[in-house]
Amino acid sequence: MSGNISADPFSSRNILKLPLIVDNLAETWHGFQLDDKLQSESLRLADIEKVGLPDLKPDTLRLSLDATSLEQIDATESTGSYKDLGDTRTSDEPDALAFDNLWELAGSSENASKNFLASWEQFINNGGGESDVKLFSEAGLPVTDIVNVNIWQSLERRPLRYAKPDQLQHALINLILGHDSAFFKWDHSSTSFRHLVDNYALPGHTCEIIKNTCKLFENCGSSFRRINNLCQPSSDQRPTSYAIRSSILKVLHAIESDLVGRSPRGLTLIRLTQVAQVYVEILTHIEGFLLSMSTQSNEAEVLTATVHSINDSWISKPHLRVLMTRLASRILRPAVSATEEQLGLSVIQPTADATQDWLFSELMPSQHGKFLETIECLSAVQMHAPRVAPILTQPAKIEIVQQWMDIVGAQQTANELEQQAIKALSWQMTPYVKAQASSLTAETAALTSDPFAVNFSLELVQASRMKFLDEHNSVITAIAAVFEPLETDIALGLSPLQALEHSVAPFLEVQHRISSYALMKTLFLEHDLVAHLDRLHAFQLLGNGLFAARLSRALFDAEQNSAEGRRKTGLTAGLRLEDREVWPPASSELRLVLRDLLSESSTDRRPNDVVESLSFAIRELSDAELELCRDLHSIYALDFLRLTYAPPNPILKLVITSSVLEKYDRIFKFLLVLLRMHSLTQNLITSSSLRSSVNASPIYQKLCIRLHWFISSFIEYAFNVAIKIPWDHFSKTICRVHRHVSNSDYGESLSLAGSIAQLRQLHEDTLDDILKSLLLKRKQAKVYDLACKMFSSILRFTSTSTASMMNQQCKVFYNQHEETMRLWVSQIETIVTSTQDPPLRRLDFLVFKIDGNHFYRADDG
Amino acid sequence: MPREIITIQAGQCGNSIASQFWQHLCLEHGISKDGNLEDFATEGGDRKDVFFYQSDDTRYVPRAILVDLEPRVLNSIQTGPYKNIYNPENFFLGEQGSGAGNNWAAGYAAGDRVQEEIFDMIDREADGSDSLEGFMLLHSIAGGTGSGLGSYLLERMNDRFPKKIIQTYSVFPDTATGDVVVNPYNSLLSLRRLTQNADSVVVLDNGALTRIAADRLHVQEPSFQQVNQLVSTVMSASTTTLRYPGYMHNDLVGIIASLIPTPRCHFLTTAYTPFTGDNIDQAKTVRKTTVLEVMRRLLQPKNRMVSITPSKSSCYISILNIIQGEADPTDVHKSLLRIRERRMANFIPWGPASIQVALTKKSPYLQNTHRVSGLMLANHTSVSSLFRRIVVQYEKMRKRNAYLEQYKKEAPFADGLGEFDEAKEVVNGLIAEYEAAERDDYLDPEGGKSEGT
Repeated sequence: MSGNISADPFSSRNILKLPLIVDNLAETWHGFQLDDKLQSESLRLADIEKVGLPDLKPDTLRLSLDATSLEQIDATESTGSYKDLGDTRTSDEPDALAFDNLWELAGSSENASKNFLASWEQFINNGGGESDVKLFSEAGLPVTDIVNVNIWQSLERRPLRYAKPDQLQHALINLILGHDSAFFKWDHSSTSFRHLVDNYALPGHTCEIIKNTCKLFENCGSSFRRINNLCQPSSDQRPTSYAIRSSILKVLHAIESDLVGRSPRGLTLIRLTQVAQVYVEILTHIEGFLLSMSTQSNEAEVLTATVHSINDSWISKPHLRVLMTRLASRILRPAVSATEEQLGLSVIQPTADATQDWLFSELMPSQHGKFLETIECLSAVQMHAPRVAPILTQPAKIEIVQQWMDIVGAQQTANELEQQAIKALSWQMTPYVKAQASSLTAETAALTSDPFAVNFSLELVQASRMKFLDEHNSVITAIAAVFEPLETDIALGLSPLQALEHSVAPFLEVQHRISSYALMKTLFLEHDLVAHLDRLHAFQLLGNGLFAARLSRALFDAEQNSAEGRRKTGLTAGLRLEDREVWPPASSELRLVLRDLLSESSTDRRPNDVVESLSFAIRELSDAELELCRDLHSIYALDFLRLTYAPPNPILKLVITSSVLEKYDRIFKFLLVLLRMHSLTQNLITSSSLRSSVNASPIYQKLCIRLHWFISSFIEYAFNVAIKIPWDHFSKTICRVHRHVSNSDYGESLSLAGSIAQLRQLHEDTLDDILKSLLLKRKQAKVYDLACKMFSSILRFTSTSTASMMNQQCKVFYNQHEETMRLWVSQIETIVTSTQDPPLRRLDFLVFKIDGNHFYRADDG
Repeated sequence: MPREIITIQAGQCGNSIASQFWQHLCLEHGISKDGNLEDFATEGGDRKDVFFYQSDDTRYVPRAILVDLEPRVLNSIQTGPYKNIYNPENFFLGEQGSGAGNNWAAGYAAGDRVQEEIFDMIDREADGSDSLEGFMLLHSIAGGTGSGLGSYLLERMNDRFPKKIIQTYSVFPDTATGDVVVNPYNSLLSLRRLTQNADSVVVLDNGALTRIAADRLHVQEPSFQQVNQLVSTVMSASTTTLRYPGYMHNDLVGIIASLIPTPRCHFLTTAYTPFTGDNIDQAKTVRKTTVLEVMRRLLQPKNRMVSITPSKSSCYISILNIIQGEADPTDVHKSLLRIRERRMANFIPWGPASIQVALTKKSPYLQNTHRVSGLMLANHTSVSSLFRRIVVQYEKMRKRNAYLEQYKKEAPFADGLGEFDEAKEVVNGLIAEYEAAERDDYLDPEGGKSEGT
């Protein structure tokens, strides 16, 4: 500051001398108001004489915050009213008015603005200091202008021109909206606005203020232009991108409408600045959405990134919530419409395309599983039950809810949809007694038979889109809402992601239930799912004792005829695994022995179905595995044989999946081993216990007893416990579902079964339980391997032993077996005591079976 | 490929029991009195061909050979309600029709005379089988035909069909109040053949049967028919796993392998619960049957169909419980645990053992008054007490040389009474075998519980 001026009127020292604004203490805070004393006594210039003020520098206008203690200006207790500018309002009115008047541009004081300074923080800038903008309206407009001019000229040495307020206002508005004007022009090369006019000011405003303000407006305008450019039609015509661009254009349009709609008289520079700040905030968010969108490669990522950004903005900026909600609902519209089609809620046939699941996978992960299930059911119904499919295609529009109360409406609509479908289904799914033609409802019939149905639907879609386009006014409302206090229900409303989920969930839920039920009806009543499951149990799990007995005999009984031609004692042919030299048998021999086994063992009312769906086959094996198979005395000798099941109708694969069949196969393979072991040990024990047996040594007898005991206990456990307990539970559930479905009991069917996916899971879980209980899971590999070791030993023993075997040999083998048994029993006990998993806890049954009298464990104790 | 079983029913008792047994089987499989399948019998899942074959006119015909030396019971069968189911060519009646006079030796000697005709029948049936598993002999050991002729047939079958299973359902006399005074002789002689020529003997004791009939059916003096009803129920239950096959015990050899570890210890006792009488109100059930209840009752002495006297050291060598009806495996396991906790069954000390359980289904064509029913087939060492009683009674009579003249007249005793001594020796050996099975060094020549440990 220049030392030539003895009494600098702009020095903050004078302000420091101001008395504290403490009089007229009010009990409540009415906003920040400047006291009359501040204006009249301290800052008023004595003479209004146009004299140049030499050596004034821009710094002169800066208040020294160091020198100005904020504590001293105790604004909270200021109650005085500002009247010099003709304000007629009293101090009872909102304090914000006083603030507005204080910062009002010259000439616009009569405009009653409703904005007010809510707090001190709003008065100061982010750095904690006073705003750069300093006004001198307190000193009177002419004085301010003189000061402005003098300062300008002393610094710039150029003349300062005053712009016409209305012209500049117009230019600034255009600048905000990114338009060119007499003052500003968009420079494409630098992607910024160029100032066409320099050295201008407005009465009551310094050139610096104008410059600073213009920077904000330039930012706003630049954003506007950039966003506008980004939103122009491009090659990317994907629905989501289109929706995002059009929605953002609507926002730009709404901003323009909002700005233009504001009264020019009320648009002071300050007001304009405030408005522009809001616009900049909105535009910054929108530009952020666009930028995040531009980095994504596919539609799913675009939508996900955008909606997540909007959701974040909704959460972090409460005042933008209405706008963000509107924006989200518009952006999500195409995806939601696609979902409507996928879910069969459109008059267009459901696309049932599960690949387009990103709306759920990314934005509604909690509903993703249900969505996939629904799509799967709808697809299956469309493909395999076309008669029922039209019932599941019920036009309904998913409106994105805005408030909690809207959910009730959505739920109600969904419920009505469900009731209609249930009625149609219960009528439709009695085709066994009623004519199909009359079973369709009038609407459904029209949909299925009207060749113009598609045209009609397209019109509807078109109408829907038109409606969508006409909704842009809502965005204007949303923009307006940004400037208004938030309504309570909106403030507590749903975030875009919540809104999406709550909008879609009722319809998804209903379609999920209906499609599941329809599919259950189809599976249980038309495709006899229960019979197929029974068949799998009967043959793959050897639940059919007749089959188990016949199979065992066909494979292991040495008394059977050879299928190669040599007749033995019986008439039926067998593979005689334990009594041959070449293994595996030729496929012709295999076919001859096993061809009638399935049909003859079938207790099915339709034995042909058994033969059509089940067949013996040769498993594809690697060379190493094949080599193991070739060894007659290996436990892998039967690994080449598999029983394959092919569901006669693909719809059955919904419950009888390939994964499930693989589990059946693993169990079947193991049961074959058990059957073989049982056959072997039975032969061993009867070789020493029947009247025809030669005199066997006691140790041989004892060994045979032990081996048979081990195997028969294991096999009893395997069938009576490991398979029977989980299967009975599964079977009971399936039968109950069947009964409810047969009785058209919608609620009970669904409450019991849940969905087709749950039925499938139950099926999987049942087989997993069986696998665990049979020690066939990887985690039980150690115990399983030990059991296999004993099986191998038995095979080795039976291949070499005779009842007249030497005592010593028997003794060695006996000791080995007993030792392994002890170890095995203790390992199983360890599993049982260290788990709470029911299938593994069931191994306790096995321990009890094998060692009920603590024979093996007594020594351990 | 069924595992066919040919039933040979010998003597009054054998034929009476068998008659009830076939009626029972017909009802269970939905076979009418003329052998045709009833219209309602469409369930499937059963294996009728184990005990029946189908004639050319598709009638089901029992694989049964009916043998008797006197006509009364056979006549009643031929004139009874199920007369048409039998193959008329399979009836063998002794030429004179005078019977064996409760004399084992007479029956045995008659066997030698008529064996060709009987074995023609047997061979015919055997040849008509696809995969013959064995024979079931139904007889009494106290009388003449079932006992003597039955013994002869056992010996010959053993020679002719050494690889086939021979199981007998042998009715032992009530040793306390036997109505045949020479039953100790007959029993001892038969017991020798049962020991040497059968793979498995299901022991049914007339005394126990009468007691059970009186207790369970609330009949003071049960008729033969009522007693036979009990036996046929037991026989039917014991063959359930053959006729409604499961993964195990679906053939005779499977059952025998589970129950009989050594050749001589092949005498099985039975227990069945709950018994009901067809026309007796008091016998109709008033309780809810559970697996635990059934398994517990099966171990109760009063439900055993043999009058045995267990000693402190007696134990079960093996038990197979055949449970029919709604049996949950978890309930079975709980029942087994409870039985072990209460020490209701002592097992052999020389090896691991526990109750084996076969869950089978019931006939869908019979009105079942019980949810669960059970049959226990057990190999218990105390069965030797029954043999011992027979030996003791034999010795008492032999000491006095009572009633030996009738025996001396017949061919087996033409060279003296050595047959008795041999039989006694065999039975004593059997008793000793069972006693040995109670010790922990059984089958262990070096002693100790576990080999090499």
